[in-house]
Formats: sequence, structure tokens, C-alpha cells
Amino acid sequence: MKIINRNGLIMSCILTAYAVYILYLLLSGNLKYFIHPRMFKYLWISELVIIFLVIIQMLNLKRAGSRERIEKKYVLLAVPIVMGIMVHPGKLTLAAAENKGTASAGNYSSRKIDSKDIDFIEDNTVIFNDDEYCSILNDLAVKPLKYKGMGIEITGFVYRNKYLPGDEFLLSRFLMICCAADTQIVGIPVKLKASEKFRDGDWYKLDGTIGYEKYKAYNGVFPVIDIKNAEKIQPDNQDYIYP
Amino acid sequence: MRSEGITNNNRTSLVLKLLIIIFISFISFNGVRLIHPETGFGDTIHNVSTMFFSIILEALPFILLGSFISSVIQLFVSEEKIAEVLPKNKLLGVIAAASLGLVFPVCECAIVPITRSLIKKGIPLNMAVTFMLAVPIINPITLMSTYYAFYTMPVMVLIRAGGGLLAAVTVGLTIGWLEEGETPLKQKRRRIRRPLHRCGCGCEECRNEIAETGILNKVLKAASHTAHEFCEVLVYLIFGALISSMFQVFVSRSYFIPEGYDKSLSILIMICFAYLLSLCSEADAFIARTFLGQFSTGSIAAFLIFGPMLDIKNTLMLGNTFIKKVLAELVVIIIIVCFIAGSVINRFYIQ
Repeated sequence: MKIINRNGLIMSCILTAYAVYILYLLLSGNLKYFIHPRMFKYLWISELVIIFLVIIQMLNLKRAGSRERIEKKYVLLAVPIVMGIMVHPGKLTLAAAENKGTASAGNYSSRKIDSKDIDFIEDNTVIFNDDEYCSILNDLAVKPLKYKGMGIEITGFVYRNKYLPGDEFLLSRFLMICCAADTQIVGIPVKLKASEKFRDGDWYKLDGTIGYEKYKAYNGVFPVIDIKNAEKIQPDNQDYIYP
Repeated sequence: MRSEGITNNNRTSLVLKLLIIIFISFISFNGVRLIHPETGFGDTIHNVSTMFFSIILEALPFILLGSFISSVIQLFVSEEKIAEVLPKNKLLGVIAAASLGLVFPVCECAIVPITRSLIKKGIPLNMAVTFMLAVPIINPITLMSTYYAFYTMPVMVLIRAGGGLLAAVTVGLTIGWLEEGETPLKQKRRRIRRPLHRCGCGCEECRNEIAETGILNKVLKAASHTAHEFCEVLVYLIFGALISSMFQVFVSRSYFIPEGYDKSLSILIMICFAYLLSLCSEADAFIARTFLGQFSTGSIAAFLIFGPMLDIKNTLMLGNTFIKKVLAELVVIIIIVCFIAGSVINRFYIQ
């Protein structure tokens, strides 16, 4: 029986497992919960490279292998695969929000909005969309005179944090800057409406009016929503915001 | 004559192995229920795993690229060529090595194996270390990310680039002077008569083999090397990513508020943060940004310069490359230099 290159075999198996898992993430679209979409193309390239490397390793197996010791540390390479199967990581849960901190939307605005930009304002109502979330929120924050009293339509999940007064919560979204590890919370304070029970983590589509309040945490004045209508929604795509 | 059939011993060990596999499968399927996000403990595991995966997935393309470049250097570039390119003069050579960062878009994850192979090729320690420290900071991708992270404060890019360059040159010159004439690299245990080599060996044999063979063989050799190198580096990345993501989940930022404004203490704290939190040099600019309101500008600058030089992932790889003495010296010198850099910048900013 030919002596197979054992290290090569281990490497081939592990690299194949990686290739399969990454392919799964790429095709299912779940990759967006781990890294920013702008990085997707690099991962496609990496996938191809890994497949290529696996093929090369398989070719090397045919060669009579040496009796070199099995590298124990390669076993560590299996850890992510085992984790992936057992834990099924994906969307961050609300518990992660606590330590992640709230982002300042101004840092991630993709464009500066001037008085001529009104495409997100309809009928005197500011309508938030995922693509320009930060730019819109930042504009709201810096131009209180322009937006005070306007209507607002926004989607997010309830998140009570200690920097807001007890009768308010933050209607938030997860903001992914680079990858899940540096994801932060971004959102807008909302005044609690007595008739509705807002549970942490529940998703809502809110219709309301924009008001302004002084917040210590925001170093000044920041918009806050007075709810007119709250609709609980079940988003199947709990989308992150990608600046 | 080999004995036929399965002996008693073989059968027992076979059954044992089968039992272990069944046990693990059982845990895997039921483990999913234990670890489901609904339970509090499950939440933590879920989030730590998600962040752990994200760090690895983000770094993966860069590690692959780095392993490839490293393999190419090992296989195709001879010592003479490199020695020709870099100026002989110590100071000029070090500055040239640092400037290479502008054209080497390599992540800090992959720079260590490349540096190791450069030293093996005969590059003096001062230039190699300067190269290793400068590249992750000065590379165009990092600078771009810094620009976007500090959009309202573009001078930060200059601070990071300039400060990083100066720091890298200083550390390189210092350690080169300290280790004059010594061998800084860990010697890997060599095995005699190996038809298949491991990466990181001298690869003299490979280069001689390659010189005569055709393109196809060259490609196969490079690919094989890349795979080995990639697996090596990946091990360290996994380790570091695990610790980094656990830190993210378990430690809350609000613990550190009052110390943020103290000039010296803030720098020390940010250096510690940089060690623990700095992921890839392309991403840490955004992490640093979140501290801007609570920490002095100089300390943020120290974070940006120190992060790409030393962090959890890096330390493991450096420990595998350099002997303990050199590693210790490196760490101490880097900390001192970054602290000085931060203090100098704090003088300009009346924060």
C-alpha cells in the first residue's frame, strides 16, 4: 500500500471543508451577516483559489508521502468548521448590542445632503431607506430647524439603553462597518407610547413626528420620535445597514 | 509475512473510535439546541461565534494573498536580487524598506511569514523589521480606510502614515543595533531526507529544483507552498480571532471613561486596546474612531500605529518566527516608541 502523505490529506480535507462552507455562505447570501458586501468579490476570488489549492494538494497526495509526524496544530483549523455546524452563526442577537456601543451616524454618511436633496422626503415626511440611513439620520441631527415637526417613517428594532431616559427607547439597526466584529448600533430615540408594549428586540415600522431633545449622550440636541402609529413587523431579512 | 485479519486489539480500538464518532455526532445535533440563541448562554456563544467567523472571513483573502506572495518570494527571488534593490546605507535602506509599504498591500496577518523569508534571504534585521512594521500601516488600503473612518478629521491619515513611518524606522534601527551580528530567527526542526518539504524551511532545494523545471512545475510548487503557508497562518488567525471576539462580547466600553482624558494614561489604555481589539489593519481605523469622543487624540493615534504592529494574532506568529529574546525586545521597543508618538501628538492637541 502506498504511504499517503498524511499532512497533505488532513490539509486537503480541511481546505475542502472551508471551500464548502464559504460556498454555502456565498450562495445563501448569509455572508452579509459576517462581512460588508464590498468584500464579497474578494471572497469569491478566495473561494476559487482555495479550490485550486485543494486540487493541487490532491495531486500531491499521489506522490509517495514521507513518514513525517502529523501536525497537531492543523486540528485547530477544524475549529471553525465544527463551530459552523454546531452553532450556525449568523445574525447578531440583541445581547451583542450592549457592548458594541452606538455609532454616530455622521461618521458613516455616504453623502452630504443639501437643501436641494429631497428625494427621501415625501409629503412632509422623512422616509428612511436602508441605503442612505446614515446620511439621512445625520442630516436630521445637524439641521433641527429644517426637520422639526416633519413626519417620519422608519423601521428598526426596539433597544432600550441606559443613555436614554426611562420613557424612551432607541429604534435601532445594526450598522456593519467592516465585519460583524465591529458592527455597532445606530438608531433614533423614540418616546414610549403607553398603549403599546415595546419589547426589546421586536421589530417595528413607526410613523411619527420628529421632535428634538437635549441628550447628554449625544452632546446636544438630537431628534426623537413621537409615535403616531406603530406596526409590529416580522422582517425575514433582518437587514443590517452597510455604510 | 504480515498477519491476516483483525486482531483483538484492533477490534477494540475500532469500536472505541466508532463510539467516539457516534458520541460527537450526537452532541453536534443536540448541541444545536443547547446553543440556540433563545437561551442566555446560547446568545453569548452565538454572538462570539458570529464575530469570530467575521474576523476570519474578512482576513481570509488577505492571508491567501500574503501566503502567495510569501511563497513567490521564497521560490523565485534570490538573495542577490533583494540585496541589490535595497540601499546598503543603513538609514537609506531602512527608509526604503518602510516606503515599500506603499506598494505592498499586505495585511498584518500575512506580513510575518513574508518578513521571515526576507530575513532568510539575507535582508538585515533593521530593514526587515522596519518593512514588517511599516507595511500594514502605510499600505494604500489601510490609509484609505483611515481616511473614511476619520472623514471629519483627514489629518489623522497623515498622522498615521507619518507617525507609522517614523515609528517603524525607529524600531527597526533600534532592534538592528541591539541585535547586531546575531541570528534573530527561530530555527525550525529540520527533518532529514524529506521528499515533501514544509514551508518556512530554507527551500534551497525547491529553488534549485525549480530553476530547471518548466512553468507548470513552478506553478504547482508555488501552489503547494501557498497551501502550507496558508494553513500555518490560519492557525494563528483562528486563535487570535477567538480571543478578540470573546473580548468584544465580554468587556463593556463604559468601564474606561474617566481615564480617557488623562494625557498619559489614555495612551497606555489605548495601546492595550489596540493589542486586544485591533483586527486587521484595514478595519481598526473604524474601531479607533469610536473612541474619539472619549479619549485624547494622541492616544487614538497611538492605537492606530500600535495596532498594526502588535496584536494577539501577530504575537503568536512573531513568537513562532523570532527567538524569545528578540520578541521581548521588539515588544518593549514598540510600546515605548508608540507611547512617545502618542505623547508628542497630544502636545499639539489641547484636548
